[in-house]
Amino acid sequence: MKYLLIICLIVFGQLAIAAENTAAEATDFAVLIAQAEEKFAESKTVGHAWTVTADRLGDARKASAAGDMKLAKANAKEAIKLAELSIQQAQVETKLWQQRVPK
Amino acid sequence: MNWKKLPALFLALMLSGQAQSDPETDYLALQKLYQQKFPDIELAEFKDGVYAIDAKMREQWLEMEDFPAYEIAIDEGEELYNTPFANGKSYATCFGDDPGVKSGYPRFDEDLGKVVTLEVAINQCRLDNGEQALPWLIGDLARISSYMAFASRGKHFDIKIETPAARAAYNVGKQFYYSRRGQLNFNCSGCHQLNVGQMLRAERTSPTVGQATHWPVYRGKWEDVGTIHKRFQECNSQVRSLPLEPQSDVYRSLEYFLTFMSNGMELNGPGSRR
Amino acid sequence: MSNFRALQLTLLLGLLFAGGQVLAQAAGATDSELAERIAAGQKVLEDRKKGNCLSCHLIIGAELPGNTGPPLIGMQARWPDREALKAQISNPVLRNPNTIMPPYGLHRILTDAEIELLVDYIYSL
Repeated sequence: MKYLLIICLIVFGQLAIAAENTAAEATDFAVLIAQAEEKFAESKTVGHAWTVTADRLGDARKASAAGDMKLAKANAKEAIKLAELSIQQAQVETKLWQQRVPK
Repeated sequence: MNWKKLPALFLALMLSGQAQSDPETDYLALQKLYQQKFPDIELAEFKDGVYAIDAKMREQWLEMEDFPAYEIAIDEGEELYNTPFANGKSYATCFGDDPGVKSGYPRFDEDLGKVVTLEVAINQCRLDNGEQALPWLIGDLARISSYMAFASRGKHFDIKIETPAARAAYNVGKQFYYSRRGQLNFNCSGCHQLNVGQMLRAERTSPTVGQATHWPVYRGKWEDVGTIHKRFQECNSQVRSLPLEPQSDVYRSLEYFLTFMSNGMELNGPGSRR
Repeated sequence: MSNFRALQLTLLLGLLFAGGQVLAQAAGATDSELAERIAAGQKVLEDRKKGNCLSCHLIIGAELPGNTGPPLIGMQARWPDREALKAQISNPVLRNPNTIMPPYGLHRILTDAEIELLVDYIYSL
C-alpha cells in the first residue's frame, strides 16, 4: 500500500511536470502573440501595416490551434519582425516622401 | 503617442502645410515631367492612360471599346438611378436634373471636414432618403456611378482646393502617393512617374495625369465594373501593404489628390482595362 | 638505374593520373550540386511569390519579361563581387535611393539561403 502510494506520487509528479512544460510553452506563445498583435496594431496606426504580417499572425494562430507550438511561436516571432520593419518604414518615409515630389 | 512631442508635431504640420500645400505648383510640375518624358504626346491624350503611350495596346483597347464590357453596367445603373426610393424621392432629388456631375467630385465638404467622393454622395443620398447604403467596391453602387460617369463624358474635371482644411486633405493623399509602403517597398510614384511607361511583365505603367478620368472601370479579372477604391486596395495588396477601408479618410484624400492631378482633363468614364 | 627511373616515372604518372581522376570526380560532384542550386535559384527568381524578378528584368529566353530594371545578362562580369551582388539584392535602396526594386533581404521577402541560390542562378546567366 505504501509502495502504491509512492508510485502514484511519482506518476502524478511526472504528469505535473509535463503539464507545466506545456503550460510554459503556451505562456511563451501567449506572450509572443500578444506582442505581435501589439506591433501589428502599431503598424496600422502609423498607416504602414503589411499583409504578410497579418498572414504570419494567422499562421501562428492556426499552428497554435493545431497544437504545433514550435511553429506557432516561429510565426509569431516572424510577425513581430515584419511589424517592426513596417513601423521603421513609416518612420523613414515621413522624411523621405517629399524628395520624390516633382519640382 | 509621446505627448511631449505634440507641439513639435504641430509645428512640423504647420511648416509642412506651408511648404507643400500648393496643389497648383504640384500640378504644373507633374505636367512638366510628362511633357519631358513624352514630348510627342499632348497632355490631354493621357485621359486614355497607357493607351496614349502604346500604339499596339491602344489598337486592342479600341477594339474592346467597340463592344465595351461596361455597357450593361451603364444601362443597369441608369435604371437604378431612375427608380424612385420608397419615400418617392430619387437620386435626382440629390443631384438635380443632370446626372452628369462627376466633374465636380471629389469635393471637400467644409461642414463635414471631409472629402466627399461621388460614391459617398450617392450613398449619402440613399441614407438621407431612408435607404440602406450600398457596398463600395463593385455591384450596384459602381453601376450607378458608371451611369453618372457616362452622363459626365465630355465634361472636364473642375476640382477645387480652396481652404486650409481642403489643402490638408489633399496633402494626406499626396503623401500617400509618394510614400513607400508594403513589404515590397513600392511608392505609387515609383511606377507611375519615375518609371512611367515601362513594362511590368506584359503591362505598361500609366501616368498619374489621367488616372482619374475614366472611373468606374470594367476589368477582365473583376468581371464587373469597380470603383477606384477597389483599384487602390488591389494596388496596395500587390505591394503587400494592408489595404485600407474603401472610402476611408486616407483613400478619399488619395482620390482627391489624384483627381486634382487630372484637373481640366476630359472625363471619359466608365472605362475598360485588362 | 634506368629501370628505377622508369619505375619512378611510371609511379609518378600513375599518381598524377589517379589524382586527376579523383579531382575530376570531385569536380563532377560540385558540377551536379551547382546545377541543382542553379535550378533551385531559377525557381526562386521566377516564382511570383518569391523573387518575381521577371516583372522587371529581362532574361534571354524568358516569357513576357518586364523592362523596368536592367536585363540580367553577363552578370558574373558585371557583378564580380558576390557579396556586393547579395547586398544589392538584399537592400538596393543603399545604392539607388529611387530604385523600385524591393529590398529582398532587409524586408524578409527571401531568406539568406534563397538569396544564395538566386545568386548562383544569376551568375549562370
